Amino acid sequence: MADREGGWWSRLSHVGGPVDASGYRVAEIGGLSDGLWVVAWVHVDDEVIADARFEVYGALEALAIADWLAARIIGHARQAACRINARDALDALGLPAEAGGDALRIEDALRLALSCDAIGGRYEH
Amino acid sequence: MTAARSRALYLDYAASTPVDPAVAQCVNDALVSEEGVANPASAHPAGRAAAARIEAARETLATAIGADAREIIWTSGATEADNLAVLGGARMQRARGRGHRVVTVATEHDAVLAACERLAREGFAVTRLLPDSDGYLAPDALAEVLGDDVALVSVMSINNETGVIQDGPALGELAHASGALMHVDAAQGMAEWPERLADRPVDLVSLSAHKWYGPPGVGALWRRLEPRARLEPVIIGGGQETGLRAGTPALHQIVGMAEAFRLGSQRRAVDQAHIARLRERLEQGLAGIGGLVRNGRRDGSARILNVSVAGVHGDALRTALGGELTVSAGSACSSREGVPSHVLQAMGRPEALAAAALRISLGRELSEVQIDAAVAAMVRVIAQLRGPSPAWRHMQAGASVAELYGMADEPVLVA
Repeated sequence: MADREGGWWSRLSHVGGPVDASGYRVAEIGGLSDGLWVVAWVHVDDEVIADARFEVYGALEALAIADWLAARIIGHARQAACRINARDALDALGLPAEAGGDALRIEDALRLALSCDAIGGRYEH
Repeated sequence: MTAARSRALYLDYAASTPVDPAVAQCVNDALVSEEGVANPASAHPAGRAAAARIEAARETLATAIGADAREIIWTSGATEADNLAVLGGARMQRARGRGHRVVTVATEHDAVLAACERLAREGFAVTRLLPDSDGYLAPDALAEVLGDDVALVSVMSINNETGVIQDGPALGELAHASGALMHVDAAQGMAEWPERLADRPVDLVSLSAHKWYGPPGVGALWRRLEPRARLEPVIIGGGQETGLRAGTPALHQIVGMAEAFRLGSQRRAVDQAHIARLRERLEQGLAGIGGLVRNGRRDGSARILNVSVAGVHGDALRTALGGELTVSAGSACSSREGVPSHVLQAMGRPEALAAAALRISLGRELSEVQIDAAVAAMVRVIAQLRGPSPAWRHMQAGASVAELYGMADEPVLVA
C-alpha cells in the first residue's frame, strides 16, 4: 500500500462483478450512506471456490482488502474459506487499523455469499 | 511562473494562488529595507518611513478596488476581516440600538458562520438562510426575513466552494432598506469584481491577498466611511488602524498585498477571458464522463467548478487523483478534516454525494494543454473506480442519481 497514488487499484484482479453471473452465489451488504457497499460474488464447484470477486464502493483500502481476500480463497474449500480472517489483510497489505471495519464488513459479505453460518464455519474474532 | 508545487498539477487556486514573482520581489525588498526593520508605530525616522510605506500601500490597494484609502483596515487575512466585520459590526449596531439579529447564509465560510455562532452566544438572534439547491440565494428569500431588528447581513460575493455568484446589488439594497449593515466576504470575489467598491450597496468587504497572487497572512477589511459603517474592534491592545485593529502591521505583507491587487486589477479582464476559455474546455472535456453532479451554477465564477462524482467513494476518488491533480474536496479550511462540506449539505446534497465532491479551481498561468491533461486524468481515474462499484452498475442499468442517492429531485449534471 506504499504506492497509494500509483494506480495499483486499476490492476486488481478480483474486483468488479463477473462478466457472466450465472452460477455465482451473491451477497450484498452496506450502501452509499454507509460509506461502504460490497457485493460478494463466489462461484463454488463441488465445495471448492472456483472464483471469487467483489464489487466495492468504498475507500481504496476496501478495494485492496477485497482483492486480497478473493485471491486467498480461490481454489480452497468452502469451509476453509469461511474461516478466513479478513483482518489479516491489514498486516499483509500494511493498512492502518482504521481499515479494520471495512475488512470485517467485506468478510461478512463473503460469509453471506458462502452461506458460512449454514456449515458452522464462523471465524472467532 | 509555474503553479505546480509538486508533480501533481495544481488546480486549487481557490484555496491559494501562487505568489506573483513581482509581488514576491516586492515583499522581499520590503523585508530587507530599512523601513522593514522598524515598527511603523515608532516615532523615529525609520518608524515614520515604515508608516509611510504602509500608507502608500493603503493608497495603492484603495485605487485597485475603487475606494478611499481611509476605508482600508489591514488584517491578517479574510478570516480576521470577516470576524471584525461580523462581530464588530453587529456589536456596534446593537450598542447603538440598531438591531440584535444577524442574517447570513448556511453556505458562508466558517469565518462568518463561527462569528455568527459567537454572536448567538452573546444574545443575538441569528438567521441562517438556506440557498436553492444550486447554491443561489434568491433575493426574495432575504427580503422575507429582514426587519428593523436586523443589525447586519453577511453574504459572500462568490462562494469559495461552488463558485456561485450571489446577486450582491439586490441583496445589498434589501439590507440597506431595512437599515442593516451589508457585509460581503469577497475573498474569492476581487478577481471578478471590476466595479468600484464604493459604487456597490455594501458597507463592509473582506479581502484576502493570497487568493489573488499575493502573500498569505495578510488581508483587509474595507469599510464604508460615508455613511460610516461603525465597528467595535475585535483585537485590542494598541491604537493601530485607527483603533480598529491592534497589533504591529506586517509591512512586507501589506506591501505585497497592495502590489498583488494593483497587478491583478490591471490584468483582470485578460485573466478572466483566459480562465473562461479554460473553464469551457474543462467542462467540455468532463461532459463525456457522465454522472457528474454540478454543485453550483453554469453562470457562476469561471474559476471554480465543483462536481460530485456519482458512483464513486469520495476518499477513493481524492486518493486516486491525488498523485496527478491537486484539487480539494471543498474549502481548504475544512476539507482536511474529512467531513463532507457544510456548503454542499446546505444545498441538499446527501452526505455520500457531498463527500464525492471535487472542487477544481483555475488560475491564470494554466494552459489548455494542462486542462486537457487534467481531463484525461479524471476520465481515467473515474472509470477505474467506477468499474468495481456496485453503485455505478446500478446507474448503468438505468438508475438515476436521485434514485441512487435518495434525492427528491434529479440534480443538474455536467453535460
